[in-house]
Amino acid sequence: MDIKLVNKLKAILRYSDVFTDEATLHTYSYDSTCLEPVIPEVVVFPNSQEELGKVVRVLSQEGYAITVRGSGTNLSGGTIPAKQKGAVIVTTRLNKILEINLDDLYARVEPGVITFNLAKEVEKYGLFYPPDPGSQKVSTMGGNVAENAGGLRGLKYGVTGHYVMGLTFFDSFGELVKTGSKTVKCVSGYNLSSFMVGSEGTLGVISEITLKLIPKPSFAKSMLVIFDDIEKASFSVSDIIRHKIVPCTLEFLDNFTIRCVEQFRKTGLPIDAEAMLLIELDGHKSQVEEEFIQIEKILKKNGARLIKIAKNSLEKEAIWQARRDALPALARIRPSTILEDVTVPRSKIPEMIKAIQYIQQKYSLQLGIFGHVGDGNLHPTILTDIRDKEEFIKVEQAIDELFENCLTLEGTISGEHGIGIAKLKYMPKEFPKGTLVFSSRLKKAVDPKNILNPGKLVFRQF
Amino acid sequence: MKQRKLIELVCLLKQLDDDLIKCMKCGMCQAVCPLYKTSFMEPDVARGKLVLISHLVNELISSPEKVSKIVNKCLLCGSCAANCPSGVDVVKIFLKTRVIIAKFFKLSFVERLILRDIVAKPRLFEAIFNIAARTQKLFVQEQNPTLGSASCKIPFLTMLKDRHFVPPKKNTFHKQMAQKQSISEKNKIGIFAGCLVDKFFPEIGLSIVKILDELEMGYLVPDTQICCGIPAISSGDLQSFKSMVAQLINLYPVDELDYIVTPCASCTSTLKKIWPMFLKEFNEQQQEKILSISAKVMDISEFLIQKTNVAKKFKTHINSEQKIKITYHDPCHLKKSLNIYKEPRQIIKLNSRYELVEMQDSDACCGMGGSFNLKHYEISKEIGLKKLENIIKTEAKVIATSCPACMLQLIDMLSHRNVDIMVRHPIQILQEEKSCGPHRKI
Ligand SMILES: Cc1cc2nc3c(=O)[nH]c(=O)nc-3n(C[C@H](O)[C@H](O)[C@H](O)COP(=O)(O)OP(=O)(O)OC[C@H]3O[C@@H](n4cnc5c(N)ncnc54)[C@H](O)[C@@H]3O)c2cc1C
Ligand code: SF4
Ligand code: SF4
Repeated sequence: MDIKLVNKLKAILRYSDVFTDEATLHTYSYDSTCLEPVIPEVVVFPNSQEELGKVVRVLSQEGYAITVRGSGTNLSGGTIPAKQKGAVIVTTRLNKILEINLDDLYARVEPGVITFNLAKEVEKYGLFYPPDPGSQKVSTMGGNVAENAGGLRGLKYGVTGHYVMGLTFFDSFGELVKTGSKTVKCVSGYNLSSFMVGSEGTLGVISEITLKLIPKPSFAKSMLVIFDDIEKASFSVSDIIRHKIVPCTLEFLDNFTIRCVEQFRKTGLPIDAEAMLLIELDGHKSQVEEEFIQIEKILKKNGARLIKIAKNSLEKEAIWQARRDALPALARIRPSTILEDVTVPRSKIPEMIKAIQYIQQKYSLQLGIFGHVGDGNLHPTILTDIRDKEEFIKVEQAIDELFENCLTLEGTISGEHGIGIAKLKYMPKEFPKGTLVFSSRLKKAVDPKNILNPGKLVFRQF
Repeated sequence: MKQRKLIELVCLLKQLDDDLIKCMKCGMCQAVCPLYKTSFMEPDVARGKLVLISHLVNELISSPEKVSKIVNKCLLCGSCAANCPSGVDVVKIFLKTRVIIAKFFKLSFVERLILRDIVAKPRLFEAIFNIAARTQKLFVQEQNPTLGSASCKIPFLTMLKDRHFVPPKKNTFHKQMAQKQSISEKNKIGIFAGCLVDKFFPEIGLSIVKILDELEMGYLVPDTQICCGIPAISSGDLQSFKSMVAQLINLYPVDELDYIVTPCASCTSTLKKIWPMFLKEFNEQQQEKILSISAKVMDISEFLIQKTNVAKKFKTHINSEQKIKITYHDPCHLKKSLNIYKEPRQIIKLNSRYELVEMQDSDACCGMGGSFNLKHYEISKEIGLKKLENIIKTEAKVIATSCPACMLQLIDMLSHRNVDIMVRHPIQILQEEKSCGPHRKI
């Protein structure tokens, strides 16, 4: 290890915030992605935005490759350190909510604030921060912005990026950049906030985020719907939206997942059902009730076998428990779980599901599908054992084929999990050369030394 | 570590591979790990520890010393396992790893002395406590009479630091029971008080006895108290653990008993969960006894609610205007390990003098973690202080919990803050109702 660098870092941070011992380094070699670990050379924990800036500057001067890490829960290898001179900056101690402004409806947070903690805090004031990724109890706001994380409420409320009003970040030289504003409108200069959204740590190190808040809807109602036919379920989804009704959540579980959930929780879900939809509407009571009646009609017309409306908060809890159980129930079937992320235009959902089922049979894999059908975003979840090399080759082939199909259906290779390392190879399949060259030039211009999370999201040379 | 030794270590750890592989590295354990919330560092949370063990197994790590330290720095509270989407049996992996690692890194002198030479030898253990209880005037200074806490006057007992502890009692539970055995021949219940209740809170044991008498149930209290083994196995000391278990299973005529009840969450969880994890370490005859004890053990509140008519017999309807506010802390070893959380509350509610108010995060770990508190007092305290804040916020006059180890931690925290909140076991609250004697004014 580079003693000079360590001494410089220890001059900025507390002695106990800089780690170079083998064991600690190994605990920063992975994230939630199923990929080979890479051991960094140094891990640092800044305690303030100021320290963060100084650390970026020193690492930049010494030519270290900086991987910023929030909670390390991304699913595309975004926080796996660089192979050479890799440094990890962990933001988990930068976890202060700096301001909740009730007049101008925004919150200012440090990047290490946990999504759920922010949502809970603003709720105390009758406000609402809608993006709710499945990982919200652990994911950081920095990670959410850098991955443009979505969630269950995406259909009506959008994703993280829709709430970013402004940011401060350190560029690849450690220079502080401020962008956006606390105002509803702001067209001063390039929209650098948008530039940073989904940038996966490749363009700058986010140090503060200003987020839009909205008033909390006063009423919400949920239902669970069973179908014997995926196509009917999927048609109903489009039909609801055609009727100008936008539920805040519209989730889907396939037969395999339903069976696993039932085996796991035993609440009497029909295990022969081909599809289950979970729908939630929110807003003003009268409007929600009215739209609910309409949705019921639409569902019946489209051949729903069973419609169960939650009458109280307990029943509502029970309905959503089924969705929450999807991942745990699937994950217990086999030793390893690979959570994929394909997104197609809503109308192409039945075709995408058919393609997934075909692939599942072709490679004889165990696979469950759940996801945000309202957004056309499915999570085919492959259950396997990564130690079984033969099976794993099949898994990799299946994933390749999954994305080919998704692109044929005019979808995108990632709805919310990001590109990172895991999906970089599919980028040329989705975009023309011009897109890749432009991205690569951009990256080179702002990060000439290629030290900000190298190897992720963009090709260096194209 | 020498290469040959390292290979040996890896070989032994390989047996954990099937359990380790289940961790999908989702990181959801960060949301619940009390240790992680003090440092926000991956080595403190289950995911980090599991990855380190599997990197050892896969021969990616060359120096296991630090890994050993990291794996040993854990409260074994099981919060991670209880919330793990993948169902990873984290506590089992950690305990087995500690046992394997302990073969290579010797226990510290103090650990060995305490576990092998004292706790594993019940008579000696008792004699030492006896001396401590009798001579405590010399080194103990009273702190808070409501809590019954004290601190140490003599600085050289550094292990105690500035703790406010409960001094050991001269008259242990089993000694007090020596003259008094059950009268009833109706169903026989074994009482396993656990070391902490036996030596520090004998009154809890006595409450159980009084309640069982009231219910006209027969019971049996053995004439010695033997440790359930958790301090040994959490230190990776399989030898002492085996010796404790082997002695303990012969203490009870299991076949004659319907149930064995304990007022200690940690003991219940050890007997029910940890004993079977290490079943293979015992001979066939012992295995049979272990399984049958393990099956018959019940937490005292769970037992009373599910197996007796306590609810009918004890329910009172006193409409006192001034109810005493009480709050309940869920011991990790009861809620997260055994999913028992309703029954203790039901027991408390039977005493209508009290009004149960829930605190925020009632199931958050108190930071005790047995020997964790001894080895990492500052962190333990930091976790405990969060609990303290939540207790104080409820404005309760009494905090009840089903584990004497949690009680010790709560008393330490409350006593330092010098607040007059009493710490009780739900059983004491119930028995207080029945004894109906002059109540302590709160
Ligand atoms: C069980 C599970 C469920 C999930 N559900 C969802 C879901 O519903 N929707 C969804 O969108 N995602 C989901 N995810 C993926 C993941 O949780 C999100 O991508 C989340 O935003 C990552 O947050 P994090 O704090 O863990 O970021 P990390 O994984 O630590 O980092 C993610 C990326 O952001 C960069 N980054 C982090 N902090 C900064 C910063 N301060 N400045 C610049 N770059 C930074 C990193 O370099 C990395 O490239 C899920 C993951 C799991 C394991
Ligand atoms: S929650 Fe379970 S599966 Fe997820 S990282 Fe923690 S131990 Fe592993
Ligand atoms: S057992 Fe408790 S302290 Fe240990 S890793 Fe799990 S949650 Fe954290």
